[in-house]
Amino acid sequence: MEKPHSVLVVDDEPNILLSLRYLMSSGGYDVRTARDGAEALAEIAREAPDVVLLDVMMPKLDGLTICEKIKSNPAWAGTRVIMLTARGREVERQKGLRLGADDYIVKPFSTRDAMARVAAVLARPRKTDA
Amino acid sequence: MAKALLHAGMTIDGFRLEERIHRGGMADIWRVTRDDVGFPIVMKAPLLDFEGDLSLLVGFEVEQMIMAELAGEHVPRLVANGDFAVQPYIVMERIEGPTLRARSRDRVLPVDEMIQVGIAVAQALSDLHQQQVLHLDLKPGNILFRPSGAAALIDFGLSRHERLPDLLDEQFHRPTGTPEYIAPEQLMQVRSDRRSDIYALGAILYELATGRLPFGVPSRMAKARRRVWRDPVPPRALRPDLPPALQECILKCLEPLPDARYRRAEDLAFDLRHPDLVELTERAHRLQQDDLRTVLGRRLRARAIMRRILAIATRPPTRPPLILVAVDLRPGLEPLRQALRDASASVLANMPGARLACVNVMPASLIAIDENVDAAGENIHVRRLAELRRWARPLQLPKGKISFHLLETRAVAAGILEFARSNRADHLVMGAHSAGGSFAGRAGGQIVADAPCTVTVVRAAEAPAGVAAPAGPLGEMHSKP
Amino acid sequence: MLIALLSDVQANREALDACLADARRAGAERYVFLGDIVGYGADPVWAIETVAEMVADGAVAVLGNHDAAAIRPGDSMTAAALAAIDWTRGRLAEAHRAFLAGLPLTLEEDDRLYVHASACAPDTWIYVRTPREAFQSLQATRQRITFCGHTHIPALFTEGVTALPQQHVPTDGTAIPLLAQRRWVAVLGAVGQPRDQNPAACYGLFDDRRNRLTYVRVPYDVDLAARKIRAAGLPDILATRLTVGH
Repeated sequence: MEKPHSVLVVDDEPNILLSLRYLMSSGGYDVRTARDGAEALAEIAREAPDVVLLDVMMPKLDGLTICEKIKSNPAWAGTRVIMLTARGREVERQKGLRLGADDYIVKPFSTRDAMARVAAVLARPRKTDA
Repeated sequence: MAKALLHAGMTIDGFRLEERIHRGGMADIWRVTRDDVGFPIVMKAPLLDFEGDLSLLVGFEVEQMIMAELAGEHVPRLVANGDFAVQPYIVMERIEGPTLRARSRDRVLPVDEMIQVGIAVAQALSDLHQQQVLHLDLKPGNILFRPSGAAALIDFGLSRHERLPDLLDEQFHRPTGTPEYIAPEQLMQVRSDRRSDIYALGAILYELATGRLPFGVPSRMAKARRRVWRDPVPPRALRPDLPPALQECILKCLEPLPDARYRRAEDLAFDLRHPDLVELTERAHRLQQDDLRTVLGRRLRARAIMRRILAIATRPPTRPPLILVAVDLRPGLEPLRQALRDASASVLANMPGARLACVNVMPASLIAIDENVDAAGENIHVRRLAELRRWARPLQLPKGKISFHLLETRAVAAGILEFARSNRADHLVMGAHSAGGSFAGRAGGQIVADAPCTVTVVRAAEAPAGVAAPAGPLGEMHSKP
Repeated sequence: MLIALLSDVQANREALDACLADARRAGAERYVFLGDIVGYGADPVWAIETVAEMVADGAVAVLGNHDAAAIRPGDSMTAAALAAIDWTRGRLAEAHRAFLAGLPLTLEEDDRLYVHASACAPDTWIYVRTPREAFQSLQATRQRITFCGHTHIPALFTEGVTALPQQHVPTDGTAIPLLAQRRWVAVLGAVGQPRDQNPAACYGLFDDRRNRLTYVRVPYDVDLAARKIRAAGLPDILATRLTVGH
């Protein structure tokens, strides 16, 4: 039996963590959560997830900085990053994608859409080192 | 209650006083040692020869109380608080290395270093606020740096913990703080706005960037009010090589109205880390203070502006939003209840801070009047509540985020609407029966029509076998505003 | 030692059950009842018997104004309160009245004072609602911490450096250090009839080793308690106010 894909949800807003954890596990994923950038890095170091849902604006370390750290670490090449942002500005989106994010979700978001995007990035072939 | 004068060589509670390393206006700092403490420590002891300025002593009480609540690398580690009745003192970790004041004295920092300092202090502030403490006296002399580069904040004698009694509240009929860095609302003795610390940080960044203070050195606290109507000289006028994005950040911190500043320290840290993403407004390109006429106009309206600042800074926190979900517990409706759960999670995801109220309607005919049926009536009550809790359990919501209610009423729609109204629900989630024309269907229509808030009506998903697809909401129906 | 402080049970079985369960979970080792075991609620007999049993086991209790009225008719009260007390009196047996009659007005333990209302003239049941009343209460005792209730609204007063005590509205679930160099009056909220717009039952947990007090809110089956009040024929307002917390 195939091991379920693992998802790490990172956001400082508890409701997002609670509901995405519930919805993702209903969807068959193995879900972990982190409340800030430092916790996120610790979780990824412990065991790199298949997908990280990453809030941009967070205390300790913001999501763009974390994205950069994930994408610049070859040990984590298999981890896809989907940014979550409440601001939705074009320049921010562009910077995220430039830093290597695989996709982007703007809040408020449709949870059905979030599930679809997670499935979509998992379906794509893994990005290998250029 | 006379206390012995402190001198080198004496011992207090096992701490040996080695040498006095600092004599301040309020307290002395001693290098101390104790056998069971393996890292460098200092003892802060208030000068007890105060004639009438009891605020110094209260400040020490505050610092003792608040340092006991703080942890992490952005504050010194507390070792011990001395008994007030014997000899008040605070023994804490010694953080070697210059304060920001010593580091930046007589020197304008290069832009890169200034940004790094700004990020470090903003992060320290963010951590402090996360621990629910407001510093309220942030200044270069109260900021130290660890070898790692992390900033550590000291001197909590004027601080405020958001959940503990404010020992300095209304005690002295005058504002406390440092005039060079104090925020306007602090001048009116508001001690509850995190953005006051952000204002002070803005003044510090201004000083680092330009070598000058944004509002000079007011000779008296009353003169500090000028900052309400007199904007500072734009930093770029004093230092042309300062990037516009940084001027934008600094001036945003120094806005008189708290609403116009950064809301959180981490938002400032973000902008400092990603100056390429900072949205530049006219603030970024200013090279002159506002003209005299504008300033005069503001000065004439100063009192009104102060009142507005006061109103903003003391605005009561908004009530967390409430999501009401009406759960039908009758048999055979499991797919619908599953869909309701998924919809509740979806609505919750997009309402930060919201709580969930789970409601079930118990037809009034089950309410007993005579003793014999009463016990059974109680049983139904208890059992229904247990079922409702069971329904909610997969959501794994903590106690503070969820509540359970049984409504006893014959009129289902009216009961739910009444509950929604009296509890000021912000969102209502309910199920629709696929088989139309039922009693529940009529009730559903009435609820959608008369609801005081947004209603999400949910149908059970028809999931293909073998795939656990979470059901989505059928759609949102907005009732009258 | 962790001490549970329960004030104004008001014969509310559902609320007291919930608070006792919560206190047990928290590891409370001592239970203190701060008066008004009976009052506006529908389970006076159960309430007295429960508290009496706990007192026999080492808990302590002081007398409240509703307790006093239940033994000795004739106290000035609102119409609803009178109706409730009349009904309560009718349900009590001699043993219940004897238990209430045996309760002291105040009790001292270490540096703490337990009393239903103000420590000043405790049998006149002065509400401690403002710094002035807190000052008055502090003058009437030498104990460092006074625990009381009666107002059904949580509050905390501390003697500062200026004339009047400072007032603080406690936040739920916070362990507040009752600084040893100051004196305090801690007004607990009501277990059985909260009046601070929060229907959850309120009680206190005091850690005497760490010198910290926590105001705890415990949601309970309000609808059931309200239903019992109605079923007993008591004024409807006593039922509806439970759901609002007023």
